[in-house]
Amino acid sequence: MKTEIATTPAFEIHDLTVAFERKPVLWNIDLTVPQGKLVGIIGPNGAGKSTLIKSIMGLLPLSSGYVKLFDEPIDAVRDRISYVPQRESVDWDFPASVLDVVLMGRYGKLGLFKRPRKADRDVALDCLRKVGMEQFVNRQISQLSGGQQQRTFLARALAQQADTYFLDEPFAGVDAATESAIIDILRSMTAAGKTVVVVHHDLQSVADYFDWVILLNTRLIACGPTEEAFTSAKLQEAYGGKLTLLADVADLFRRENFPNRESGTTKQQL
Amino acid sequence: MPPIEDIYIILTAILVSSSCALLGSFLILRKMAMVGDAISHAVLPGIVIAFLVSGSRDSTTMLLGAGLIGILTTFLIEFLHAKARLQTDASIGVTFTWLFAIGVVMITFFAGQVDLDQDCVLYGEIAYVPLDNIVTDNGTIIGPRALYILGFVLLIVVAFITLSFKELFLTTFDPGYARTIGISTALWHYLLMGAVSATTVASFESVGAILVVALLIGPPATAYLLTDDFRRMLLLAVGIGVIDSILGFILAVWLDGSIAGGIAIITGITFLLALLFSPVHGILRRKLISRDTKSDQVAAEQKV
Amino acid sequence: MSSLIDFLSLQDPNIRYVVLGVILLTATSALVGCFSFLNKKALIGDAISHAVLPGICLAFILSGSRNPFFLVIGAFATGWLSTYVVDVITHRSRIKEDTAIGLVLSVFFGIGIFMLTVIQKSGNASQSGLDHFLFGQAASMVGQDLMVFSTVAIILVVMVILLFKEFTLIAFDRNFAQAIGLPVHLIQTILTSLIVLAVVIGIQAVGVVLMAAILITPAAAARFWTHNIRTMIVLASIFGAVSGVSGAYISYVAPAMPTGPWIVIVISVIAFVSFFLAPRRGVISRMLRQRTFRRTINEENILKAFYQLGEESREFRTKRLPEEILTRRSMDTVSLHKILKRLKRQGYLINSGNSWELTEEGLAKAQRVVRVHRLWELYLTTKLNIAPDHVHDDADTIEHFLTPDLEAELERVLNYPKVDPHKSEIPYDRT
Repeated sequence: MKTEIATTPAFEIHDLTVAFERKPVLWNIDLTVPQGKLVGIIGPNGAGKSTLIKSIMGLLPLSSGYVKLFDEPIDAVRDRISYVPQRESVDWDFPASVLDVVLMGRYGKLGLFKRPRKADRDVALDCLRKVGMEQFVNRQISQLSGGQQQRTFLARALAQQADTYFLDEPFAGVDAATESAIIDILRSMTAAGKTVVVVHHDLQSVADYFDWVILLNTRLIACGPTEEAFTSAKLQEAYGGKLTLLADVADLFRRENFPNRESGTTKQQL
Repeated sequence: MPPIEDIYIILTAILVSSSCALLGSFLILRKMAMVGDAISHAVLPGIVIAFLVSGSRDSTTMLLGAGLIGILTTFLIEFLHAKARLQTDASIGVTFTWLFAIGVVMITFFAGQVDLDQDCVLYGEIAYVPLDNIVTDNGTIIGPRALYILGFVLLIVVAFITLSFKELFLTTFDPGYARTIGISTALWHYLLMGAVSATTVASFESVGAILVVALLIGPPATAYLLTDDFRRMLLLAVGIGVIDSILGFILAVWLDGSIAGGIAIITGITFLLALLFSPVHGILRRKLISRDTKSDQVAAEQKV
Repeated sequence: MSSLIDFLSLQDPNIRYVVLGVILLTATSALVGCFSFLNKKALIGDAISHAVLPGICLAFILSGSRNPFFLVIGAFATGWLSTYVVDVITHRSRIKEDTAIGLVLSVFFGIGIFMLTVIQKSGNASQSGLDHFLFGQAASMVGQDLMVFSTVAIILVVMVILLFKEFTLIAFDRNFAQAIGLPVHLIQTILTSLIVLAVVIGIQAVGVVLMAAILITPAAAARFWTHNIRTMIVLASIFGAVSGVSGAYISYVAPAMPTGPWIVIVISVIAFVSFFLAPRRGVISRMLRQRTFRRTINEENILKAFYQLGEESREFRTKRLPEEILTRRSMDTVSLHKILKRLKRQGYLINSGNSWELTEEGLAKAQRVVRVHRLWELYLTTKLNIAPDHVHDDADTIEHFLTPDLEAELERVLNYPKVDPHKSEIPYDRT
């Protein structure tokens, strides 16, 4: 059973297109990622990196294609997947303590009407210890620095005790010490067999941090081990040039409200 | 010792303010204060219909029917926003003004059959609460109807919040994350709005539409300025609501004005006090802090 | 019916005052409200509307009379104060804007109600009309009121005309306005003042509680009919005026009815009708467009099937049987026949009995669809590095909607290729 699971890819994406308000964000993405990797999602601004993660998590509707995690649709394996959103996605003025936030990671396992128990608190405290925030347990989140906020989010994710973790820009606006601490934690997670996927913006540190890279710019440029995917040729492709025609077509679609995929008749291959 | 009628009135106000304080705390943190305002207006036609249908103030049908209108309002706002692509603020504004207008017209139209008055729906007639008692079959008066209804509503609100605390807490703080761990943000949104509807409807007769809004928003906003702990915020909001009710009543009696108006005024005053003087978030406190840091800076520079 | 004619003939001077007055009030409120709408500040209008009540009561208490001049000043003062307070609360504390608006709205209104009840109990004879401000009573307007309100209305209209392009720019792109050196803060202050002024005069007809509807609903309705701001403003004013007159009429016919709610009901109906029936942006229009798209897709797919059969047999203008079409596109025969008939009506096919063939136009159209499909597949595979077996679905959608200039661009970007990823020939103009 164990070996069978180990060979199942962590996640697999097939023909995924996400079309948005203004422009096509992701177009026909196909990729597979094996378990146990520290994956970096790289690409220029607006390349669709955050969108990719959100689509995998089911937070955004897909115009086409599908996503499988551990060979299942996400709703079947939500307890094995964890998501760390961008820091701006919440209002840090919210009256909650660090412990309150980390305990949220246990809610998925608790179910309706149940309160967090001592075991859950212990898990939460342990996760806070892992991220070096144990002395902030009762601190109000409005008093945290950027790095501390990020670590709180990470602790919450860890509290889920999941197998795959998706982190959206965890190093944005975070001090060097925190960044280094977080990357150490992520490395220990992959060493323990977890899969960690990170949306990353800094090209300098990619080769150092990640052993697998997904290079994106609306469409997939490369997906593979860092040595193969993160080459100057591929980077050239990702960061150079625009897909103006694609953008124009998607814009046309948005303005005219065309339906995204054919409906009604079934069709045969040309 | 004030007369029993006054005690009943104050108690009624306290029951209303407590339910509102609890629900309103969630509303303001979700940035849905104005949706709460919309619901409190939009339930009026439902109340009138319930009156007509049940022929009396039979509370259960009224609560249910009118409460459903509150959920309907939420649907309608969502529909206008999502399907008709109307901007959020206009979706709210168009929906509740329209429903409230219909309610007022219905009241005038059915004036004979419905025991409501168009001004009274705005600010209620809490002074009449002690006059409407529940009389049991063998003639015992067990107290004002409003107290029982509102007490029941408060019980439901407390139960709702206690049982679903973590779901409400999470969907308020981080709806995106909630969805990723499988919690339905839509469900809790509608349940919360349903609770707001029920509270609004139950409170309508005694305090009217506007005061409900003041109580939904005022004490929670005040509590928000006084603490960073959510549980404490809930308790504080309830406490402040109690104080606002009592002081508001006293103000109204003193100047011979509307009790609902008086409570609304005190709500504003307590908020203002917190806004200025809160030890944590008050404006004066912030000024002091910045002045301290400035003088620290000056002192540091001088040392060099 | 006769009452309607009496009403509309405006022979009764009272009716004249009322109708004129109401039109002035509702039309100018709708006019100014458009900018509230464009700035997405509808609910602040609601707060202002509720906030004018204490000002009115205060003016009454201090001046001892119902002189509209004083009432306007009082209303303006507290109306303006409310926006200031919302601003201060939002910017100087962690309270969010919606909470600030709701709070100011209910507290100010509570103060107003309190004062109103105190006044009512004081038994001052001239206070009897004050509660008309709650829901509006257009019928109670007299000549003197009309003077004040017309003056204010003219001021409003003139100011909007003068500052039209500034208001529009700031609503559209505040940062740009600031960047080019417009005194944004000052202009917004002026706009706020105009809105408060509109509220102050509008409440005579609609009342405090529902005033927000007259600011927002006409604008929301008008927005669905046009992209052009000038048109939108004019339309909103017309909608406002119509609802105003209707409300006044109902007040005339049934004096017990307050005008405000009826005006709001009429304008809301206009709005809902607009939401559903407006061309392009309306809900029904969207649904119909979707239906048309689906039909186009199905029709063009059948034409494509004809073309593909033609490629196989190297003969495009021959008769085909429906069964042959079905080898290329599977669907039920009934739907297929419907589509074939539609294509015949449009001139792309002709038939004799059960066999159908492409006309000249039909062939050209089919060819274009196929060309775009194959070009797009090529684009996806070469420029986007998408696997060849994944490009078909995408192209199947795009082929129906690409405009001629995008098509030209596509050809240019790909450098007028001859074959698609599957080695099928790309058909350019046929002779």
